[in-house]
Order: sequence, then structure tokens, then C-alpha cells
Amino acid sequence: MKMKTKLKSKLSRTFSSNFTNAYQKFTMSHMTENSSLPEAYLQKPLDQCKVALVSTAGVHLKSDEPFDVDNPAGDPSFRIIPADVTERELTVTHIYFDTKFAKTDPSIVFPLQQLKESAADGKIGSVSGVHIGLNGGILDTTIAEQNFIPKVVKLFHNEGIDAALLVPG
Amino acid sequence: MLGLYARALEASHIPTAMVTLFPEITDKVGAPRTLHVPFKMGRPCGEPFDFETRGKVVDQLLELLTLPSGSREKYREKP
Repeated sequence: MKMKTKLKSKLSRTFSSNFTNAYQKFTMSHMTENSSLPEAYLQKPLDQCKVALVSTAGVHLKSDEPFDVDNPAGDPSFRIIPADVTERELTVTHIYFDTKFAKTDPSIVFPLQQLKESAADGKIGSVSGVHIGLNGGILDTTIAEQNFIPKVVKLFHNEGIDAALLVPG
Repeated sequence: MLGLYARALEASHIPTAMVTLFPEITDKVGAPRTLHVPFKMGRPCGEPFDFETRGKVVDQLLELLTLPSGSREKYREKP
């Protein structure tokens, strides 16, 4: 990570934790309002559904390329996280929140273990074999919308995923 | 960006349930189903090693999947 990025990260984290309302307003002002609401329904009972996780906390495998936090526009790409991963194989790359907590215990941003327990308890049918790690904090989402989001949607259909749980950073 | 994933997945007939720390933001982007949690940024599912809270967050997200799009729930300490 470049020195400039470290400084940007520190400033941003100081801003968001001390001036949360201003931070919200800043984020709000960069978003397009969507008045319509898409609606999907579970196609089968929850205890038969295959469920996947999507995180924007910058979660990825240690063996994978980290998100490019030095890019001022952000990194809209995604990382695939297999279900059989152990927490020690995961790490977090993000500059807009303090990652030390998530590095200590990745389940605070990526509750895969708890999802597995839900499957073991019979609350859901199964845990998807693949999950998605993203790096949030992208103001211009055009590339994500045109390129990466459709790829993830297609992947989820190919994997037979019935529902997704989404967790921010 | 997470809200955009939620919308795209729902538009393709995959229901979603999403944790939110800032409901005003996720309402504006039009995230279909949200669970408002009282935790800090970077810790959306609670504090490190608080697995009890984590389990409750996941349980409440799963429950939210069964509710209609537009559902806005709040995290409950006691289910």
C-alpha cells in the first residue's frame, strides 16, 4: 500500500468515526436514488435453499491478489472465496475502516462459520461452494454495474444458489 | 455498491438479505431487504469472537429472506 493510500485511509477513518452524520451525507450525495424495488421470492422452503455470502469488507484469500486500494477510483473486481476455506486462510484489504478487528476474527465481516452452523442445524439446505468478496467504498459504480455485477449474478445461477446474505464493511 | 448487488440478484430472481449500518443510505439505493444492526463500521456482525451475536445476525438475516421485498428489520438482541 502506498504512503498516500495509508494517509487517505487514516483521514477517511478519522472522518467516518468522528463525524458519522457528515460521512453518511457524503455517501448519500454520491448515490443515485432508486425508487423501484426489485422483488424475488424464495423458490423453495429455506431449509432446502443453498445460500451464499457476499461481503464488501474486502475479504479475500491470503493466496489471492489483494484489492487495489492504491487506485483512487477503487477496485470494483471480486474475489471468489470457496466454502471449505479456514479463517486463517482469509484476510481483509480495505482502507475505509479499521481492518485490525476483521483480521483478528474474519467472521465479524464474513460469517461463513455461522452459515455452516445454520446448515448443520437444518435451518438452510446447504452452504454454497462459492462466496464473494468485494471492496466497498466505490463512488462511481459504472464498471461494477457493467462488468462485475452481471458476472457474479451469472455465477450464482450456474452454482444453483437460491439466496444470498450481504454484509457490508 | 452492496445495494446494487442486492438489486441485481433480486432482479435475477435470487432473494437477498443485507446487513445495514446506515439505513438512510441503503433505503436510498433501494436495497430490497435490510437488517439494521447497532454495530460499528468494520464490525457489521458484532465484536471479534462474539460468536453468539454473530449467530443471531445470521439467523435474523435468514428470517428476513422469507419476508417480502421492502422489509426493514432491526437487529434484536433477544429473538
